[in-house]
Amino acid sequence: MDIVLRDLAVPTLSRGLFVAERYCVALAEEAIAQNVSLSSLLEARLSEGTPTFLEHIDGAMDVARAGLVALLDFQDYLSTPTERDLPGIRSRLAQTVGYIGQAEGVVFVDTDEKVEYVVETMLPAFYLHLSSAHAILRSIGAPVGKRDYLGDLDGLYDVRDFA
Amino acid sequence: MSATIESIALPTMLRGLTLLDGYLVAAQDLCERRKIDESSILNAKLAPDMFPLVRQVQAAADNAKNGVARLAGVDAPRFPDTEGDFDALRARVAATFEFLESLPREYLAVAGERSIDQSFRGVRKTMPGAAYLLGVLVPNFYFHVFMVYGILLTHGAAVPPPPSSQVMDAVYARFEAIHTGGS
Repeated sequence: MDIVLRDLAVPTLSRGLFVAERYCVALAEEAIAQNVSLSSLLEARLSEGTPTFLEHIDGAMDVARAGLVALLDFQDYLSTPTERDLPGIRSRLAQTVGYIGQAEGVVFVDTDEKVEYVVETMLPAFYLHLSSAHAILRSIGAPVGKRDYLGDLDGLYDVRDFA
Repeated sequence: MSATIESIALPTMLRGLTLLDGYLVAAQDLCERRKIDESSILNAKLAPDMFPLVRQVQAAADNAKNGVARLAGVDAPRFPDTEGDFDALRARVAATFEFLESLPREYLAVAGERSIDQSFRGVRKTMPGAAYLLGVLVPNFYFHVFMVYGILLTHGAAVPPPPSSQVMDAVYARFEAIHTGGS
């Protein structure tokens, strides 16, 4: 069975960015629970010299946008992130999710190179950023789990099982 | 040219296992350099209720082996969870790699339509193979691979790949290659 590029890329990116949004909320909740500033937690990292939580969320968005550019040639989607606070990041997340929504109705031209790009570069880079944001949340004590990371899987189950 | 289960599942797992082996080499190097007992890194965790490094490696390798075996409709080899040092973990990663490489590709030909059992807590649920691969197996596999990466970062290991900027360089280089017709 063949898998078309749109089905390979779009649901993955869109589910993953909802996970990133969930992580932003979890970080904000953790700042309140620990009575620390949100900006200090946005800068949390696993060790000196490695990317911060904020940079991993930005990274996931950059991978998603670069993916759309590579697969669909929508050049407008690339931008350098300037947002340094949570409302700004969430607004950029919403904009990125919107771009992915636009890709739903577009015809993808599938090529071997694009498939290789998704498998070899886009997916590992995307999951590196999401997993690392998760790891940072866990390392500061935020109560997120595997279900938060996998996101909403309801649409993937066989409907006939519930008939 | 569309993708297939085979063209997604196998390169993903082989690439991730290669990354994982690189992390284990970096961990060995860390232990030698700093005269640290391997068991302290093997048992290191990011949070008290998370798997330690040794279990993250086993989980990543088992996801690769068992996940692809489910898609292929075959039984995967079983490896006892007894690894006590990095050499043993590297051998497990290598054995997993060999199993995937030796799997006859035609077994994955109908994997997209194969019904993958996702039942839990007595609720019957299944997923088509393609949905399972993209929605569960690939993210779950990478999760465990990158938890190993994260644990090693917290211990100051010189982990080879991939700081964010290098990942993005690779992303941009690839899409530029696509647009200029390069490879």
